[in-house]
Amino acid sequence: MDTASGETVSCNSNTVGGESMDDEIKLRVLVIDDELAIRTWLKGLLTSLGCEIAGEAENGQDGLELFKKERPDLTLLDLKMPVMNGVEALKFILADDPDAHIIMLTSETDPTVIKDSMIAGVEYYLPKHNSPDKIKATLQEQLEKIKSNLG
Amino acid sequence: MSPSNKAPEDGGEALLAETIKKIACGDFSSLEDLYALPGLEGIAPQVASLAEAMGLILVKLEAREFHLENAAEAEERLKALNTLKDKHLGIAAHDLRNPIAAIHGLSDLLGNPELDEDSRRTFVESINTVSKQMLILVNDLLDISVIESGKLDLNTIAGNLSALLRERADLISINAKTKNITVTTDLGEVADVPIDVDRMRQVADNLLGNAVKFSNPGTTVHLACRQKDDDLVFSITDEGPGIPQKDLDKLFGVFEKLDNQPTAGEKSTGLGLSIAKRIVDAHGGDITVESEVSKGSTFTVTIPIEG
Repeated sequence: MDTASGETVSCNSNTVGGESMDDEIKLRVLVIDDELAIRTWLKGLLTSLGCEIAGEAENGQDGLELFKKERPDLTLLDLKMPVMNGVEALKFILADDPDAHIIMLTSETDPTVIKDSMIAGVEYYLPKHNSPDKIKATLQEQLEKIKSNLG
Repeated sequence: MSPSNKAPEDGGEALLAETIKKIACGDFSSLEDLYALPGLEGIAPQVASLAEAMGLILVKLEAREFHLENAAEAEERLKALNTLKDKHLGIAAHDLRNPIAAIHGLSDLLGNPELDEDSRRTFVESINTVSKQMLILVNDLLDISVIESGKLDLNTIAGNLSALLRERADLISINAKTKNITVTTDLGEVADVPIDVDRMRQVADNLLGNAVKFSNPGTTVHLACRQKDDDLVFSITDEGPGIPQKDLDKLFGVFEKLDNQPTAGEKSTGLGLSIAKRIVDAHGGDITVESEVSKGSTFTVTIPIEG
């Protein structure tokens, strides 16, 4: 199964409707998570927030390659993944582009692992077990921030 | 010798002092000498009973020290077990939280009345799939906890392994076919053996399932069962990626997932093999594995014919 596709997924924002923040700028977001259902959810959520999906990958290594190819405005990164975990992927991505915007979205609760990703330079740590509303609000806030920087 | 109240003769006093000193250090060797010394006959029995009391105290102290040492050791073991349990709980929490987050998030998205039909279908399918995975994980977790607490009661009857394996192979063939993997069998007539049929099914499903899960399309999974001396032996051979020598020890550990990935995005709880091994152990049998990287693996289960 090849999930590491670089194709830009059509975003359906007109059909999802109502939640698009800005019709002018569509931020391109890369989703890296080993769980298909989580990727499906995040893609749906980001689309509803008016983003374009720059690509998706099921491990850090494929994610890193996609990052280099797609240069997304934002990367959502899982921590615990096979082949290459999130902390390693984070280090490689930041080495490649120190200005990359990365949100660590994880079910991990081990404080040492979370600390590692903070030290490695993650901008925002978002627990997956937060309520969907909270996750949506946080994503929205971060997206606005990135947009205002771009603007 | 008559009881005497007269003072000990010369040297007697020194010996008495020396003996008491030795007793104080736990050495009772010169006690006998007291009886032999004229003038100490009266006092010797008292010194002897003093020594006896002293000896008892020493024995008690030693026993206490021994218990303390054992208790410390047991505590260390318990601590290590507790740490392991915490680690397992952490993994279980993570592996349950992830699908719950997906279900929570996806159902939230489904609440949008303007959602297009394609997305709706994808989200519902996704919820369906992860719920099934969660159910498998919860079942495995319950199995492991029952087994680890020593409460695995086998419901043993005379069962035919060959027939059981035939049935499981037929079932897995359907899955295998969708991945273009061929399942071949060599299941001859074998004697009935005392087995828990449900639990043995679980073992066969796990091993066959793994073989199909980790193999590439176009390969073959072979299942054989034969009688060997006093045992029934069945083996499952795949042409999958193989397991590196260094990982073979970890294979049957709880929550051990190796680097090999399922070839069609299937899920793995990291518990199946450890459950299978414990079930086979409970039957008085054994699971062994031989593997060569990029050639394949053979899992062999041995079940004694006399239970």
